[in-house]
Amino acid sequence: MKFHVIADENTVTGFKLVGLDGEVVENADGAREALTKAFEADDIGIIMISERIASEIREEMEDFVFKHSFPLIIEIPDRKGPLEGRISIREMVNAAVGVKV
Amino acid sequence: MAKYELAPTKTNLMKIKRDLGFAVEGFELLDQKRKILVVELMGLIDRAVEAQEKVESQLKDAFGALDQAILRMGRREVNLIALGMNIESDISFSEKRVMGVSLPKVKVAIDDRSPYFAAAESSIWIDEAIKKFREVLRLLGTLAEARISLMRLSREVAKTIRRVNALEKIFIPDYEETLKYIEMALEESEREAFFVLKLVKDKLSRKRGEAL
Repeated sequence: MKFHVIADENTVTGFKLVGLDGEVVENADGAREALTKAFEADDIGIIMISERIASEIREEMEDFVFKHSFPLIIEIPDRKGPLEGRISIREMVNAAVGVKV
Repeated sequence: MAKYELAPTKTNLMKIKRDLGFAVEGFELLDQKRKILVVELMGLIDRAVEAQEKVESQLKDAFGALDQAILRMGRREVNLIALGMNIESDISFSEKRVMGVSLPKVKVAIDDRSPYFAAAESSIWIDEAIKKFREVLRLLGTLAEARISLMRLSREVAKTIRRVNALEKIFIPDYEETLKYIEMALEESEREAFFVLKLVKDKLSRKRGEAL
């Protein structure tokens, strides 16, 4: 199983340096397409998508994550750092569980 | 007010008692499940947060080094080096099950065959960038594992809490209410039957007295 990167040019170049395949994506449509394609490939185990791009297609992201248990998707910050106002892991869990843990 | 429309009979009383017992048992089991899941969740949160922090700080360094490399050598050159890279990574998955929830276990193997390029024409930053990105890659497995497990677990916890609440706040009180209603109705009809018997007995003995 392999990693797959869906991100801006810099991020993809960076991960290419360590031998990963990736797709440079510039807008929401491109991101949707890249995500669908990555889901159909059967040798991809983990998809890394940059937070900035993921936030533009938030609905589809949730859809993908809830419908498929595989491949795993994780969001990573791009070179500008973590997105402002992003939901932290703790907040995510609190929201899902409905109580503070 | 009884919640279930049942005729107050002995059969229904037994049935309701059985159902109530079942609901209580289910409640206890689910409550246990919830507790176990929450413990698992707590342990995972710290791991996930830690993994995320590590990945992000490494990634920041990695981007810094990459920026420098691009600055010194130009994007074209960096892309060329990327094309010639000979690092292979492989992810293998296994599964851990906690209370019926499947949690992924991720193992990342990085097969590194250096050197990748002629040292003379490259900047030290490209080495640095490769090193950092490789480190990120190694950490990403842990992050993916922790984050996805966390997501699945928290969804299951939410579901379990909903069920526990439904049993505790709705089903069990309703059954208890019905049980009480049937018991009372049965007692009432018993008293009534007793009274009728007494009446009959009185009448009979009075008749016997008149006859004498």
